[in-house]
Amino acid sequence: MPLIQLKDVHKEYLLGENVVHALKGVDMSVEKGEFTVVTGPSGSGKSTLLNIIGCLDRLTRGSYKLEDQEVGQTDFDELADVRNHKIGFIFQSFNLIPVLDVLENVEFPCLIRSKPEPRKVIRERARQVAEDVGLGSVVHHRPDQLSGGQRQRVAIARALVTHPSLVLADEPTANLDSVTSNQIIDLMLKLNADKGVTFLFSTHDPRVTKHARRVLSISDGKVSEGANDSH
Amino acid sequence: MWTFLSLAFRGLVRNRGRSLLTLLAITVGVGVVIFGSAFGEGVVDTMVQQVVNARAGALQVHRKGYMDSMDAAPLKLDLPDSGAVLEATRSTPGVRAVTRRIRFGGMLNNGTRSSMVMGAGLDPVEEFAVCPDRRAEVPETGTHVRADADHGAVLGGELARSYGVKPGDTLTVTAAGREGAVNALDIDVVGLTRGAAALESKRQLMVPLSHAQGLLGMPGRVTEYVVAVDDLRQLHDVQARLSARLGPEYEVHSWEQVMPFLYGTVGRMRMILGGVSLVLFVMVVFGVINTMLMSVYERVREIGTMLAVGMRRGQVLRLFLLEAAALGLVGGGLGAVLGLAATLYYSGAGIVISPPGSVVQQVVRPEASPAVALAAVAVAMVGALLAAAYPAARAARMNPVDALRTV
Ligand SMILES: Nc1ncnc2c1ncn2[C@@H]1O[C@H](COP(=O)(O)OP(=O)(O)OP(=O)(O)O)[C@@H](O)[C@H]1O
Ligand SMILES: [Mg+2]
Repeated sequence: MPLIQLKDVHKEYLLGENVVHALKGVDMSVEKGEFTVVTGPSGSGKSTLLNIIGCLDRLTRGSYKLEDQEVGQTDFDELADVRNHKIGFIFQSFNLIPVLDVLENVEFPCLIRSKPEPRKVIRERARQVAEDVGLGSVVHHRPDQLSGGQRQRVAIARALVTHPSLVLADEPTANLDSVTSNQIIDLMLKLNADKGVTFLFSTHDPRVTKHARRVLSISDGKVSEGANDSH
Repeated sequence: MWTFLSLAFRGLVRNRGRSLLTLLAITVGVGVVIFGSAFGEGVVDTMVQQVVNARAGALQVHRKGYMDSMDAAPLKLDLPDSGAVLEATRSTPGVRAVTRRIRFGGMLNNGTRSSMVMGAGLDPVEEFAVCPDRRAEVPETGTHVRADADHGAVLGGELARSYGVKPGDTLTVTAAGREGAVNALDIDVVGLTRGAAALESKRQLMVPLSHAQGLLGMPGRVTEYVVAVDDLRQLHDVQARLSARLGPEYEVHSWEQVMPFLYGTVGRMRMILGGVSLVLFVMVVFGVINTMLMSVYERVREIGTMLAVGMRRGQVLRLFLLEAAALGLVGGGLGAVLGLAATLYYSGAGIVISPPGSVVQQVVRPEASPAVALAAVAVAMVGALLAAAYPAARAARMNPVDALRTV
């Protein structure tokens, strides 16, 4: 059983009078433990695809199963719980909560649960994850006291703290310099190798794809296996 | 819950300037309402005291029909100046003191000019037991009516000026008595009023009760009993009790009924205070709406992030409502403390005011009311919550994808 399975997924946006057809029948699946890169030019639909897979957005047509459960049409609060328990997000622009320090940002997804675990358990785990991503020395810093690479590590820790089935990263290195980018990618590869975390990761930088074990290309709203050499 | 409180608190602290400004608006609003209403009640109280303790008494007893009579001061509707009715009035529970008066119309002459006066015959001892502040009507240069001056009269200040008389001078007063016979008696001026109220000052004449009885041919008769009560808050109970005791031949009026204009002023004053409170409330509500809307717009991406990691819509709503409630509670609490502190200070020190048209200065003591303070804080809280409802709902209804796309 694949971890996620998309069948003929369509996504249409209404832009005033016009319908933007961002996904035009996507078929794909990801297995547990895979490290997959989705690549494609700007505007090709990478973010749209990841948003649907991440249960942030609903598909217009088609079927999306996460761990064999159809989630394409679930209501908002149920989707919120799916996101909280099964999915970790890493964004291009980090999206940390500025008033919280590193540990608090990492703990956040655990704290907002309707039945949170004991405070001490959460804190301990957050500390451990922060350690794992190399933030051990800055756990009480606020995001604005961190470098870009450190901020993205906080986001990674926040995505991992709930032990999600799938971690989604939408162009996580686009705001970082190449050295830092490589460090972040190495970190994700290492987490994938050591802890079996499943990553699905988008980029429009073909250089990054050489790190990936599996590459999907998206163009004109459709996904195909393998790097597309036209980019 | 703790997470949300701490998040809400930090949300407020983040934009310190704006939060403080909103807090200040709430504090000032609540403080002003509390102090304003305390001051207003103090003014009302001073006004009521002024009327009750210096002029009308708390209650007045007349013969049935006296107040509605076409005559300004009908002498035919009179009362005995002693006996069962007076004793019944005196012994009614809640009554502190009773005095007797005759009101009459007459002419004042000095040989060359004569003018109409509104006369009152006052018991020179009891009058001051019922209306203790009455003595202050007459400044040091003279005295009020007194027991050892049978003919001693007090004149309105303006009236005395128009006759060019001062204490020690003599005038003649002429009046039609109870049976219609016109009589004239001399009076010795012993004092002049300060002339606080213009109309009274031009027409007022006060003489000892016995002198008025002689002038009007009414020995042993008066036209009203004026009653002081132990506790003004029980005024209407005492009024009902007294009225029941005296029966249908007599009428008992409260000061509000005797001086409806003044009572109207009290009502208008309370209305103005209510209006000011309402305006402040609306200002505070719009201040909070503005603060919360700006706060929501500034944090669109953050709201998107919270939604993305699994926060529910209800939790987002709660977070912003909590921020507003905290503003309302802290601002309202501070306002209540400041308002009550100011009230307590000035109720000790007193505020001297000179009401328009009055020569006498009055000391107003604001009256602290914990009920008003509590209500003001509660209203501030509710107002802040109401004001935050729309911004908070906007935040909660956001689509996470759109929120995250915002720059
Ligand atoms: N909310 C939206 N409303 C309307 N059109 C949208 C919306 N989101 C995306 N689109 C359109 O859908 C298409 C795919 O957009 P998407 O953001 O998924 O591309 P992308 O591959 O992530 O691009 P980039 O590399 O620039 O991030 C684009 O044509 C875009 O304009
Ligand atoms: Mg994108």
